[in-house]
Amino acid sequence: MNYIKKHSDLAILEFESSELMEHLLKVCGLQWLIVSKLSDKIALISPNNLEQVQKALNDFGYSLNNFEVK
Amino acid sequence: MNTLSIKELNRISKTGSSELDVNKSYEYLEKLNLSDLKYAIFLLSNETRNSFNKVQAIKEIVSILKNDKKISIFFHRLTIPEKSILYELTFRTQISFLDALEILVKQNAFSTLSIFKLVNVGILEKIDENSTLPNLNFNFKLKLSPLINHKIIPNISKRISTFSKEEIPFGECLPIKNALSNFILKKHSLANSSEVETFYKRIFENLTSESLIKDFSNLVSNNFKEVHKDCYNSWIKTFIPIYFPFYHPKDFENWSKLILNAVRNIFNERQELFLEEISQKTEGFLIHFSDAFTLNNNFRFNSKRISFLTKIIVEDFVKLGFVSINSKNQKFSITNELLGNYSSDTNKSYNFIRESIVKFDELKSFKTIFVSNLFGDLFKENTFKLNPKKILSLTENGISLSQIEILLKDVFFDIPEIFRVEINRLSKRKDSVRLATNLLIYEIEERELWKEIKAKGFRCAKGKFVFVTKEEAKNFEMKYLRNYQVIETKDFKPLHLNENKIKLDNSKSDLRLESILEKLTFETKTPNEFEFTKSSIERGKDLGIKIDDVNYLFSKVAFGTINKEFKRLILSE
Repeated sequence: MNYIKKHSDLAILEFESSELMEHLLKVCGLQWLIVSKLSDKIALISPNNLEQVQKALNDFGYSLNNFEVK
Repeated sequence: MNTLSIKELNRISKTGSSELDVNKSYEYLEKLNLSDLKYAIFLLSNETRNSFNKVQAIKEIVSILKNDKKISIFFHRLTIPEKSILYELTFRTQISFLDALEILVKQNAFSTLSIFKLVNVGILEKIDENSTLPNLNFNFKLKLSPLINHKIIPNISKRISTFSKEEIPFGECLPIKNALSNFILKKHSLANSSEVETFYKRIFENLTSESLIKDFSNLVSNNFKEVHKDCYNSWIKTFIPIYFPFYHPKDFENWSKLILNAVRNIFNERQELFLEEISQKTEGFLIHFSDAFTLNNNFRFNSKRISFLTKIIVEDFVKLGFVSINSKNQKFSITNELLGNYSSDTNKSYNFIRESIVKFDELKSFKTIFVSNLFGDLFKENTFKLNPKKILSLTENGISLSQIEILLKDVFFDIPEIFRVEINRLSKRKDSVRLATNLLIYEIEERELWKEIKAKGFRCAKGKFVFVTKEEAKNFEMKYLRNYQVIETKDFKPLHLNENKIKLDNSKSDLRLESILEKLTFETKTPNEFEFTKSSIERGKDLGIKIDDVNYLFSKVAFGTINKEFKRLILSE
């Protein structure tokens, strides 16, 4: 039997553009908070860091919108 | 460490009323803690101004500052230009340490990071508490805003909100003007001429266009008339910082080249051509001129100011001798010095140029030219659509969208609706970071299976990840993963973060931490971020880093991880 990992303890940040992602990672200190970059627009964060991410974005005038993927 | 009372501090400051006992003061100051030291500086440099040999005192204070661990760290972290300017201002001129800082902050000579450091060390806050920065300029406000947003300096946010966008009238900043005057004189080695020195002092004391032109006239006739070609470059270097005193000195050279080119473009033509094409040439001049403003993202001047400066500069070229005026008939000619042997027709008056420049401000094209050059690629080519990349680059430098709007207002007075629409559109990007918590991530090692799933339209990434909503998860597993055992795991391995990199919690910074970091690094270019390397570990070991130190460092980490290897290496000793 082969195994496949399922990660259920991660949340996904999706940025509108790769430029915005690079920008925010650079200026907001998000690089310290995200777990990994999965694409040029998608980053993973730990729910434990959610509050800090929210705060970092708020500090720089960005808001974090929750969304449900359908 | 001894802490002196305010009473004692006052006594120290008063002992210098006639003869400053430097050694005595030094002894006292040496005993002060950082907070008291700053207060002592304040007392010595403000309350007893001019009452004793301040230069000597300040030298002593700066000397102490240099010996103070925390302040020395601050100095150490300044960039080389910042450091050199600060030293130049404190050591070579008769101004206080705080005045020097104030000037440099106002001159935009410090980076945001350094202002942060100033706040962090407590200097900037102290300045503000003592109200020695009565009129912070707009640019300073820009720089402070991100810090205020971070609640680093909440106490002054109220003050900042009351600042005017207008530039500080020079007449209200006499100490700064004098200091700047000294600074410029020293900088450009012109201090050997007392007349020049007097001239510059007067400029700063009475900076109006009339007095400036008068002074320039005197200066030219007294000093530069015979040798102005030779002095020209020096003059440009000296002249520019007077007109643009908040400009960073490092750009003086660029400025002088730009202005010089602009001047040549206008004047290095035959007179008829100059007169015929005055509008175009002036436009060209303004393009150069506004190009100059785009250097270093400097947005301080509005069109009114530009117009004012343009007028003055052209008039001053007349005063400089590029154009001569017949005082009897008010006719002018471009001088031989500029045009070789050409002798101009003097039928047209100097006022023509003057009026042309004034009228030029009224040309509709002015604002377009000015703005497109001032803001560079802020706007997409030939449109008024804002360029998102430029916006990002501005916001990267700590300028928010609302500040950009203010800057545009600063230029246009009444911001055109089209810009407002664009800014609103870009403002919606604030909502462009989205968070999904209802997704599960499957890590599919088998490439073919991953491709098959991807082909079905699932969100995929990095050749092995698949994102599935929690609602869909059961069906997904049933449909595609039924031949696999799905293990829920929490050991997701970060793909890109450097495990040796840490970010320190600023609020927890202290001398011990600084000392530990100093032992681990050859330099502290990025004080709040630190990356462990083999050499840093070796260095730390050589300098006696102990396990207690390592644990202490661990307690200060805000984000990131410390390589276990580092701890192991230290422990192995």
